Amino acid sequence: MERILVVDDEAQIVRLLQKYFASKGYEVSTAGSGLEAIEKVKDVRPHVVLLDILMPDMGGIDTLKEIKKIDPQIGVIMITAVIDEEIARRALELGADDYITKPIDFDYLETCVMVKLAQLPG
Amino acid sequence: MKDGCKTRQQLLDELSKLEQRILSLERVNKKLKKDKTGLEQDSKRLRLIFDNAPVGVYMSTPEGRYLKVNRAQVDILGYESPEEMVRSVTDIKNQIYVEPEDRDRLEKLLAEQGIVKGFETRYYRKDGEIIWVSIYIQAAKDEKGKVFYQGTVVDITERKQAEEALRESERRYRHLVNFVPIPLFEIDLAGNFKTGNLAISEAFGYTEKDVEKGLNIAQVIIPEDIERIVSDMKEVLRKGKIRGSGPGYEYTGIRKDGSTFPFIAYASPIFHGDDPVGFRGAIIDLTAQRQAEEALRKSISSLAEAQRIAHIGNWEWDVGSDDVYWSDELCRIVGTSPQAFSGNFAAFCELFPSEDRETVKVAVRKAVKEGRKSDIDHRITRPDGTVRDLHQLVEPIIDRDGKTIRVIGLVQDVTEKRQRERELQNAKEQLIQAEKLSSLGRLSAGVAHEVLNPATIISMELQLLQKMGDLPPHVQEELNICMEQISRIVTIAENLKQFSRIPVKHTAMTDVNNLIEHELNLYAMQLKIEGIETDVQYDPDLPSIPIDREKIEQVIMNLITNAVSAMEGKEKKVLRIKTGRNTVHRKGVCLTITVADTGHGISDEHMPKIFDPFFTTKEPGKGTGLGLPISYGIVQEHGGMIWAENNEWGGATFYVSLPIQRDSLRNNA
Repeated sequence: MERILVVDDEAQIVRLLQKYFASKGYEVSTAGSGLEAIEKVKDVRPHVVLLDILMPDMGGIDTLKEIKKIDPQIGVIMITAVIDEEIARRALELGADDYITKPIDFDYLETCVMVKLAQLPG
Repeated sequence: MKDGCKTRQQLLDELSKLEQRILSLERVNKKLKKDKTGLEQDSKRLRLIFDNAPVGVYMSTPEGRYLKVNRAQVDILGYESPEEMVRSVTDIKNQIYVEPEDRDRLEKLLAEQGIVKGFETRYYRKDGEIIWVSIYIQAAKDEKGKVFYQGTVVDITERKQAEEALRESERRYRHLVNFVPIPLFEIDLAGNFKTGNLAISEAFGYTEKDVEKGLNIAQVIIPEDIERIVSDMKEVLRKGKIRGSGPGYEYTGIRKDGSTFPFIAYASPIFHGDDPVGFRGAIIDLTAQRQAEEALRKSISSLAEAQRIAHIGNWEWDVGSDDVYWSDELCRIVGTSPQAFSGNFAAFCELFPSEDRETVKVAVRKAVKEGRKSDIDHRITRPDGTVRDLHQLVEPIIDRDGKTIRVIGLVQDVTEKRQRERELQNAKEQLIQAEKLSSLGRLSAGVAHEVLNPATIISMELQLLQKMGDLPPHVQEELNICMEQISRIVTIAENLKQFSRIPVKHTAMTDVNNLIEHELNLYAMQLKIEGIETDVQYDPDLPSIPIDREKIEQVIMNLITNAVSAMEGKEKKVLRIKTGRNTVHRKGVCLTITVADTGHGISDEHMPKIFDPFFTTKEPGKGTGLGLPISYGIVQEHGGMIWAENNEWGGATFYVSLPIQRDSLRNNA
């Protein structure tokens, strides 16, 4: 079972994403903040994390750093509100696998997840 | 023949002889008579001459008595008659001679020469009055062989008095000349000093004796001038008889002690008849004049220099003559050469561009009509086309009657100052704008994000709806319209986000150490006032990197300002700035600047907010809370990173990392 962690401070978005991916057969955990996300990563060990960039406490970038510390293999797809080249670039340098912009296109997002999962070892 | 009887013939012969003898005797007698008469006549004539000679004639004895004196002699010596004189004068030497030694001297001369002419001495008249006489004396012997004197005496008292008067006059004149403070001289054609007054000896450092002994102009003029003085002397002679003095000639004199001084000589030739024999004239020491000239020149030069340094020039318009004078500096300011300007007021005004001409004219008019000064600002176009900003003070010079007779203007080229003012104003505006934009940008970013979330949710809901299937086409259509609108919102949000970017204007290879040093210098005074120590460590091997210098300067300025504020009230204030190279987070090699203070540090609660717009720990009114957000944006725009940590000294350290190579690594997965 492929595990996905959805991280966004916007509850509705989390709900929608969880509903969608659950319906596609993924095991979905959720987090509403960077700190929560890190805890969940440690607990659940998801394969892919969908990570919002702009979050109040610990920003997406910092969360990304932490996640990569825990497990560099985890796939992380950044979700950014508007394309910010710098942040995107930085995220990629820090190890993010991809980034997509809001508003989220479900199909496109699912494709990215599939690709990442396929790339993971084992 | 018969003796004792003379023949008739014999008697006739004797008779004839007798007759002849008588004739000759008669002739002799006649001659003798004639001679006697002649002698008598001569004697009478002599007597007449003797008696009536206009000079005193006398005969005297060596012992001192008069044998014979004539009328004139009597009159000269003031006696009544010859008889009285002969009777009363018993000792000529002591009675007549004022200096008895003179008679001795006279007799001695007489003994040597036999005749003495023109012997001058003084006599006492009968009444004791002293007169001057000139004596002619001869020694002779009478019938008995006794020596007597005879001769003439002339009263030369008047002549003597005239001589004395002349001498006295000459003495007075000489005295005057000698003490006149202008050096006067007479030289012969060879340049020897014939006479000179006290002043001239003093001028050249010699004594009067030196001059008397012999002094030549070659000794008192520097060698270089000698040739010239000789040709000048020739020129003066060539010009002929000059009345008074001609133009002066300048030379450098050399004193007895070797010191030199400049002087000017006025001279005219001295003639004996038609031949020139020398020159007489005066000299004037030009040292004082030269010094005054030099002082004036220096003063003028100082003034010109001061004007040049201050870039202040001046002009003066003489209302009456319509002459305009202006200083060198003014020419420089206006960009003309002094010769190019024709010099009257109208021409002067022509130099200003037409818009400014009126300003100047108004100011001048005010000065002339109202006698008031003005302060004006205007521009001028130089001949080469450059435009300069000028600041002028125009002032009237008013005479006793209250009429403006001159107008003066002080002109200062304030172009650079104005430029700086304009630049400062520009910079201020830019800063305000940047801050505005930045805060707006930050806001926009926030707004964009805020707006996009609901938009995303709506979009996702719409997608879900669409995926539900079995939707009637018109419903599908409406859904599509909704999706389009969502796109629109997204576009608007994207634009807003764009707005939040602080565009990099122009990058240039910059030495960051240099940049920081420059900023520190600007702060030097303030740091000193605040009592802040600085500890600066620059990495000398730092390469130059392409950055927007102004923007990065803004960042450094911001960090320093924050550090200074943070350390307020602290006892030990140290500002530590370091530059160095290091590797950052897969960014590659970066140039990192650290600015550390010994302030209060940043609390955990505040740390995440420090780069937020309008976040500030200062009281309202102090600090906008925009500094760090803006710095953040700038550093971001350069592809760098800025963050803060608390440091070991109790304060905060800000790190700014800028990539050394701009083309960052975008490693695609």
